[in-house]
Amino acid sequence: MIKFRERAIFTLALLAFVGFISYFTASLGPVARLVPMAVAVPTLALLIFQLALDLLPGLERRYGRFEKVDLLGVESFRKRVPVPNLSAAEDMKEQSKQNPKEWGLFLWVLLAPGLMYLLGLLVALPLYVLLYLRCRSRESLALSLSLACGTGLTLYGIFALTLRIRLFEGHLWLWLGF
Amino acid sequence: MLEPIIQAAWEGLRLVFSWPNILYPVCATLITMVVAFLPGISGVTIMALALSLTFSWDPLKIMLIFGAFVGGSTFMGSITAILFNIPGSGPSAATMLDGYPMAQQGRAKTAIGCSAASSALGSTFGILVLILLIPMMRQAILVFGPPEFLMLTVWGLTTIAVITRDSVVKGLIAAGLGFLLSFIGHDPRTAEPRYTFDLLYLWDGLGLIPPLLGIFSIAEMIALTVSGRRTISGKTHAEDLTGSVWEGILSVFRNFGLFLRSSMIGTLVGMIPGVGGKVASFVAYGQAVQTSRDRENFGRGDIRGVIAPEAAHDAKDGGSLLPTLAFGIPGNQSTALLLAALVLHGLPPGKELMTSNLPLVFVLIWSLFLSNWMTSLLGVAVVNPLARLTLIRTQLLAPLIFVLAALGAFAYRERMEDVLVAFLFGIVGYYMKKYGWPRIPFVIAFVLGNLFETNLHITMRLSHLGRLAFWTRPMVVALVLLTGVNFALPYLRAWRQSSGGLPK
Repeated sequence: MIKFRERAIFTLALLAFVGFISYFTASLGPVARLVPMAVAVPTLALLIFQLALDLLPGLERRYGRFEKVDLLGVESFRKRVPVPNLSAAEDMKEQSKQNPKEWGLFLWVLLAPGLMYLLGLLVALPLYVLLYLRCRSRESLALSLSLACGTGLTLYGIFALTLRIRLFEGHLWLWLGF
Repeated sequence: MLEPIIQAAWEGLRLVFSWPNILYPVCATLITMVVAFLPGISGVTIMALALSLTFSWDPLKIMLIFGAFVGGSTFMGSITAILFNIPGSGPSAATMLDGYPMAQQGRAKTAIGCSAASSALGSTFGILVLILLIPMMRQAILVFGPPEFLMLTVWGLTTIAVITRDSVVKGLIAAGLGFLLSFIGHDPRTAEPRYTFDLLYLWDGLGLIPPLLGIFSIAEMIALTVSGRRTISGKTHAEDLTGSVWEGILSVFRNFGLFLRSSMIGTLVGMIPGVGGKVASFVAYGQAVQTSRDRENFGRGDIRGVIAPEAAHDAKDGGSLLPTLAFGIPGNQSTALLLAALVLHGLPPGKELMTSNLPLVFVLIWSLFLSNWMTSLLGVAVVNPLARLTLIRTQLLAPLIFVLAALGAFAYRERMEDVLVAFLFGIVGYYMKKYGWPRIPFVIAFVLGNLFETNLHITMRLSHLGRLAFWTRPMVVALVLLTGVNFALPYLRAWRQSSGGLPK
């Protein structure tokens, strides 16, 4: 019986991506597709199997051993030594449900390249630091401003002045005719 | 045969350590250290800049500063990898795998101490091999051809099987994805555009740094923020940080066999033109996992996972100077710029440089040596403030890391598309982490995929034309055996354990 689980969405997205790549690979010349095809087809097959494991609990119970197969004896070594719960990754495993904070954070994450594209690096990055610290982290205005200024000065001093890296200037100014 | 080399080595040493010559490598190292702390900017950026600014300088000063540039940036990239999961350069990505989990456990000092010791000793090893091989470098380099490259990458790829832990299916899929993304660009044999979708940006491939920045540092910061963890180390006071620099330094001597093997791999890979430090680091990491009896902590903060890539990464600098100085074949970007500087200043590589200008070659070598030790010693000296960076609140750190990652991605090729790629990979990396998809197989396949394909095609073509007998090449046979041994070793151990040969 099919049971929809959240992790299946990610597997499905990967399946769609590899499926698209495989379809595209077939249209390449015989030499150019040789190695990619040899990789894409087994990857696609494994993704279908993984999706089945994600959707069918019965199948996972039956083939769970295969999923956790101890290919080179690593698991048997692991069992003998207790490994402490170390990282945020493992903290996350405990949070099996979709965290509503994620979507808000993704917007904040994608805001950085968005601002950079529009305003250019020199304006966007200090502004991003200021907005994030003030609006999301609820830090004091003084701290937010000083870190934003620090970001701007470092950016200008090291990247633009010292290293002479041509910083991206942003499209908004172009659209506005500056 | 050795006498002129010893004389030149002494003369080179005297020139480097005399006043005011010593100021050049010292200042160059300090500048490189500061700049290399910024992700995406390596010694290569400084060298490119210095090339135009030092046009009127004499060759001695050029050798003094370029040696320092090559050596100065290597260690600093590892600091950001350990503290923030941000690889300063491609090779530092391997240090991240165990260095960052150590920082998460509050053991950043140990990781940095270990990295500094491995780095300094690894570079010394590479330089010693370089000096020893100067008289016979031609034979050493010509042993490596496309079949040897191919088997070297296969050896590196076998690591995937060992590192994949929680789910073999997910590990293999992740490796497949890494491979497929490494094929973006042009087919190495026919130059047919592949997966470019008429986007000019994709013609050069994805590049190494943006996906790595995304899949590790941005994903890690998202994970930290979502998990509600207060700091990277989970601790809020400096007294809570465990571990010490000495513990890290001593760990290198406790694992001296691993250090020597990794340094040897680094030097050897460094000698091979076009392979680079990232292959050296990942191959060394792989052999550390494969040759260890207790592998359960790798990827979770095992000190050996820091020793191996650091030693290999620094040892490769010595190795990469061999083909550059002797044949004018640069092994990587930094030696390519060094080559440009040599030619610009009337020192073409080859026989003349290696005979009549040998003292200048040693100036370069000693400057590299000095720079490597200086960065490591300074790194150890400032380890306490560096370790305290892991106590900064996540809410405060997150936007700064996002900005650093964006800058690193942009500085890599000065392209805005790289920034977008880094952030998209950040979200993909977060979900990989959340749903237990291993990221290490993805990175290894992504790093080695292109090299594997190119050398597979060349080897197949040469074999088809009857110009290459694969199995008659001693280095190929040695690498095939080594790969086979890597696969067989765990089974042999398990068999010995079950028959009571090894303690349980």
